[in-house]
Amino acid sequence: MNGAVVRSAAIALVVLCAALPILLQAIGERQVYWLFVVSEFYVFAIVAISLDLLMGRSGQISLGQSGFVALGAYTTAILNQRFGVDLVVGMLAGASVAGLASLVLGLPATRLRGHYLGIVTLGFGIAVDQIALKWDSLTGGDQGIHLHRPVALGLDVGTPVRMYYVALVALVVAVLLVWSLTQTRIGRAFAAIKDSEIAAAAMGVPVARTKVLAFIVSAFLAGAAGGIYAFLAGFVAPEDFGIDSSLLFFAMVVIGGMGSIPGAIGGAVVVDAIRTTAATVSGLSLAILGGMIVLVVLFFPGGLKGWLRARARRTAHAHAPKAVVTQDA
Amino acid sequence: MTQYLLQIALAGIAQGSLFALTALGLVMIYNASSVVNFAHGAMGMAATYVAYLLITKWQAPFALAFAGALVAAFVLGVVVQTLFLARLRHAPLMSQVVVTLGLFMLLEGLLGLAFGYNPRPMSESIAIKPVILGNLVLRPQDVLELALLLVLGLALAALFAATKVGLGMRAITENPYAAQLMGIPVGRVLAIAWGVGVMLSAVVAILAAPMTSVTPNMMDTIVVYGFVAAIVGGFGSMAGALAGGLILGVVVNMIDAFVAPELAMSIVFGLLLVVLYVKPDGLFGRVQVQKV
Repeated sequence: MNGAVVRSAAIALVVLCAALPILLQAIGERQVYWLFVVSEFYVFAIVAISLDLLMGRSGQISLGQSGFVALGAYTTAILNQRFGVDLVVGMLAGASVAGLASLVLGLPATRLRGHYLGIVTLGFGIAVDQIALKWDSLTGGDQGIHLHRPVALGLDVGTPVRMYYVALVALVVAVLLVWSLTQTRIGRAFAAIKDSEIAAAAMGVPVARTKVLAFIVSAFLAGAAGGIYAFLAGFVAPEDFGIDSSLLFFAMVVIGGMGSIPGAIGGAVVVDAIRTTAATVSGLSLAILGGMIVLVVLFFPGGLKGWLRARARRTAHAHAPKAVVTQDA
Repeated sequence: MTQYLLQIALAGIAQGSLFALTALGLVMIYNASSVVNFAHGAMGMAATYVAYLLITKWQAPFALAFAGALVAAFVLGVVVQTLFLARLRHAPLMSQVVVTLGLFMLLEGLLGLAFGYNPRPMSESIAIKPVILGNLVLRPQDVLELALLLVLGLALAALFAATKVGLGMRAITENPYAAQLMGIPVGRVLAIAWGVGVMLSAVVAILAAPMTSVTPNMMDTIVVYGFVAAIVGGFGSMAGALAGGLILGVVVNMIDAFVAPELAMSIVFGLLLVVLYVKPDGLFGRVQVQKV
């Protein structure tokens, strides 16, 4: 597929998403419920894109992505509850705090062998959870924090429809941001490091600095998603951000196919659907997702994205005129 | 006060032997196959369900149930290595890590489906009396943990020093390609390393079961501490893993006693970051030089 086709498909998809509230009203479906479900999905998709930037582009693993989401959500919620901070300011503050935390974590871990970052981020995710529960004078402990009605740039966005558009805009901005980053020198440096750190270093890429940078950008995006989530739910509590949700984000990236924005979004669709439908039976979604991850790694290394692309190629091949083939031979 | 401190340290060393055994298994698998096994705890947990079933369903004596779980653990390790990781031997490190994480989720999910998440009690395994050392007391579980660490530590040392399989593992750690050329059956040796490594995890899980109860996530905390112990020990050194585990046990028990048990893991990871800043290869690790 060439760039123009992808671009027009993406624009069509965004237009369709923008029309969703009107469509839901026309059909008479439970508009508020479905708007919340889809808005929440947009937030998850932002986190999936952030994690894909780290895992798929720069070849590092984070098992504590929900820790950054939690930092963003709590920062936003605390600022909003105490000082009535605006949605955009709160989100940026939350994203910055998450980015700063990643700097502290990343400085030692990214200098080291590959799996250390996985283990350190795993511990980080657990620690954020524990501290949020324990430090109840700041976070409200297990009671959580309720936010004020959200205002974005002076505009009241406290209705489901308006919050839906906030989440949609945030997702589109995140996609554009990550996509443009991959088109720059920095994006190529990420790819070089993913292929071979030694070769990248030999080509003059500052390996440690670039790895930390990927980690910071990823945490910043996850923190921003957390800020939006806080306003969307209107409430923040520790149980939203455990290891389980870190594993969900991890599953989204792997199943969707690493190193691709459409892959991350597609993975988020699949995983979110499985999570919601299998939620009533404990262990079911974990088993399905775990099994899918194993199968993907063993048989479909490109994930959903790679599988679809291979299928498209095969059907194109099957429909190709036979005469051309024989002429070639 | 001194006596109180010593008592806590002693209990910490005993608890640390669980972390040390976990770390030993992780390092053994890592040294042989360069894979960090994120499913390590879940595999030990799965084997514990075998012991649990043998005891509750078939009224088997504890020793038999223990042996059954160890056999199951060995088979699980061999199957995972030969069925999954052997295919990924030349795949990027990322794929190998991701597949063990997938296995972790799969195993926890499957056992959650089969048995639910309600903790199932497992009684104390062997009746032993507390041991009194001067004015310090070793609880029965402490005695058991320390004894098993001693026995298994010696057994591992003997395995690496005196058996063909152990020598093969060391050769593969040194240089897998040369090891293959020397006629070492690499596939078989790797499978055995995984089997024995997972057996260590099963030993830990069964020892911990009276305290944690048998649940799909019974090993989650212990295995994270096992990772930390392995990193502190340099992730590659067996002696380092052992020392790392024992030190960590003392640290965790001190935090539980003097600071706040509910923050134990946060503080441990804070300390780990400090250690990594100061000594990037762990307290006992050799400096790693990567060959190009």
